[in-house]
Amino acid sequence: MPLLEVKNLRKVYTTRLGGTGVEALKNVSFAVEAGEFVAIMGESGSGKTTLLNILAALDRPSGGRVLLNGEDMAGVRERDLTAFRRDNLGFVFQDFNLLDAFTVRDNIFLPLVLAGKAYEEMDRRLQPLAKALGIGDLLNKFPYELSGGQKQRTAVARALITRPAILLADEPTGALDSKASNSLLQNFEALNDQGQTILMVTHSVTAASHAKRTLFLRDGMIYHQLYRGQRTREEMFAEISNTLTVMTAESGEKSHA
Amino acid sequence: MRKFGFYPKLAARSLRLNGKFYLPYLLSGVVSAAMLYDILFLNMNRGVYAMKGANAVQGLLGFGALVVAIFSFALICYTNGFLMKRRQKELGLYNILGMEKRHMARLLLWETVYSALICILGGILVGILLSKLFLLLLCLVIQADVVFGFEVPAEALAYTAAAFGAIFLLNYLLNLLRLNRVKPIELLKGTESGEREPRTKWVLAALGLITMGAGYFLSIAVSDPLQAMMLFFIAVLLVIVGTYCLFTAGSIALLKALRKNKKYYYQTRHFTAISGMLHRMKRNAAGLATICILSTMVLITVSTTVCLYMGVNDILDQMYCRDVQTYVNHGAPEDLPKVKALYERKAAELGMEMKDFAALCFYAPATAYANNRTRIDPYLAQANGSDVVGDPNDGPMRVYVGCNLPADADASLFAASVEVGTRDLDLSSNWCFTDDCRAGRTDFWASLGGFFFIGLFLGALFLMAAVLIVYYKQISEGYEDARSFVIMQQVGMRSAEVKSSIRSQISLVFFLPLLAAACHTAGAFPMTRRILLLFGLSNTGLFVLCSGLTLLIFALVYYGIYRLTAREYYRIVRR
Ligand SMILES: Nc1ncnc2c1ncn2[C@@H]1O[C@H](COP(=O)(O)OP(=O)(O)OP(=O)(O)O)[C@@H](O)[C@H]1O
Ligand SMILES: [Mg+2]
Repeated sequence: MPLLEVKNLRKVYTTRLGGTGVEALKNVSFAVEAGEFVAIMGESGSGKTTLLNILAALDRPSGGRVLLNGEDMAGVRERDLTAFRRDNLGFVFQDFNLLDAFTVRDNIFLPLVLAGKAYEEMDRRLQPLAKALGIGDLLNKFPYELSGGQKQRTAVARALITRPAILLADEPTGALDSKASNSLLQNFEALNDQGQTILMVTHSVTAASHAKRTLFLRDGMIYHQLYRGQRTREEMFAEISNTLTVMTAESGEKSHA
Repeated sequence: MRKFGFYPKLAARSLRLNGKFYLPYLLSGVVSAAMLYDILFLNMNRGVYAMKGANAVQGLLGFGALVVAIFSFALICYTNGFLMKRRQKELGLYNILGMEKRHMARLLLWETVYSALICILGGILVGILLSKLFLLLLCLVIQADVVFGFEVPAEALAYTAAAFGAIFLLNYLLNLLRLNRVKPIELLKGTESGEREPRTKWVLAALGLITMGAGYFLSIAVSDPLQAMMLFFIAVLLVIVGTYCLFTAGSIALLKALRKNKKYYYQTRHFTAISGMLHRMKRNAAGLATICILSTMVLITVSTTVCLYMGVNDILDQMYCRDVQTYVNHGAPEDLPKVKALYERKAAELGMEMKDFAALCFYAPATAYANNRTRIDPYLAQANGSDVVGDPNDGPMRVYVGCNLPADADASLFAASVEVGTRDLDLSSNWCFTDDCRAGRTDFWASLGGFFFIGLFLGALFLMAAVLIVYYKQISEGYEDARSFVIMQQVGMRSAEVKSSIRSQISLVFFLPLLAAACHTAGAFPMTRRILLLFGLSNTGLFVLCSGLTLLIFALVYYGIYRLTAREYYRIVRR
């Protein structure tokens, strides 16, 4: 049984005036096995954020199903959703979303405090995580004292401290320079090697080339997918670039036709 | 010349765009200008000049005008500072897009000109509309005949315009200073930029404890009413300093101590509340302290003046027992027949019939208050035919002679001729005075009515200021917190938890100043009670009642403000 299964997912945004609405996702199906590192790519407006929001249970689909560990997320009651999300999913955002009022440590603790965990337990979980992400020395600082890369690694630690089944990331390198991006992606690969399942939306070919598999989304549908297999990162980079070029060319033709 | 109209237009546009922030600012400017105009109008009104007891009222009104002017200045400075902080981002953006600082100065100049014009013109207009109402109120309160006619004293207009012109000019200069100090990158970050976590300032906390303690001690320890009057303002100053210190330093020390306790701190309920408050305390402690002090000022001003006004009959009965009366303090029993004979002679000369004639020697404590007049009726009741009443140990002997006169008799003529007559009587003490009590009553009503009027007037002003500060605090915090609450929900906070966390956080921050204000009012009670004695008001029960009622009404109003601003806050946070 795959860890995450998406079946015929549809999402229609209806406008407030009751117009025709936008079909952001048309018919999306794919599965993610435990331990995978999947990147999702696609043009702006192709529905990536929409997909991720549905997977994150931040938004409800208009049709289709999302199964996590075989359990249908539609079956989770609204009031249990927050707890469900907290216990099963970890999130990383493009703009970090750290709280200024908390130290790095407290930012990372936040989900556990909300879950009512004891301090000793929180601390026990924090130590290895902070070491793995290289933020052990920063724990007492405040977010405004950190660089972008350090902020994002803090956000990753916050996402992982609940030991989620899947780490969801929406353009995690979007606000970082190439050096900080690289070190974050290496962190992701290392975490993945330890068995963490990761699903990442990205615009960056470099970022996608770190993943084990890349899904391409176009006009609300899966257009194509690439497995990295035994290929090197450079080969993967070239392959992804090619696919993107073809995809853009096709959609260019389509819009001209 | 395109450039000429550019800045005025941009300034008008940015005022409109920031309407949510500027509207309360301008509104309070208009209201305080109107209040200044009205109090000046009353001060200069010819009708008021002609009233009985006008001197006392005029003096009070002049003092009130000064307080309104100074207070308006403080209020406008405070809100202006708040607005500038909020707008730093916008100005930073202009700067990065190529607007130089001197251009910004020009933009700010136009904004200041617009604000000043709106406040001054609007204030004067509202003031003129309300002036008649205030005049009627004043007449009612001091029990004077209603003054007819409508006037707009040019002097009042000029003073109001000048005062507010100066206030806005000063504010503009302050804004220029601010503009010069900041770098564009900081401008751009503005309020969002991470504020350094506040340090615990033990010295400040200790200073706060000491000054506050000293203020309370003065209030409780000073037993002499005259001394209490003189030391009152020192006590007020001490408590103000103490409040600021304790709110800024004490709150941070307390919150940090709570955070140290890991078991307590890492609980959902406390976690967000403590860190959130700690984060914003540095900036907000001053605001909270200000709200607390303003509330205390409202409470004390209103409760004392209301109490005096309610107790005025009490005081008058004590001070003026008959229509005409003569006291000889430190007198002797042989003075009594002389004064008695003088009264009878004058009554016969003027052809007035004396009623309720009273003549008595009595021992009573010497008091600094009510000008040493004492309620005579209890002594009369004890007299039982003898001329001397009381215990010599109670104090010096006083001789009292007094009578009522028919309603149509001229009491002031009678009193004046008695007064002249006493000079030739060869009495055993020089401290002899004769009252025309009818005039005395009118004067007293006028001055206590004046107090009452000014008390309510200033109370309203302070209340408006407190409301304004509370409003700005809530709005600015709402904008700051909106992002935090979105993030918290993303990492797993239920919306019910969000709501209760918000509620506990605001209500604590909101009711802390009220609690402290109630505490200050209670602490000031012994001192204010003694000061009221100076005015002859010894009815402590009445004062307790007035203070309690004032506190109750104020708390209700405060709660109303809380509900309104809390709703605004929710709206912003749940965007
Ligand atoms: N709340 C919404 N209401 C209506 N339409 C929406 C809403 N959110 C997204 N859309 C529409 O759905 C489509 C997909 O949007 P989505 O945000 O998923 O794109 P994306 O792939 O994340 O793009 P980008 O790479 O620019 O972030 C777009 O056409 C967008 O206009
Ligand atoms: Mg997106």
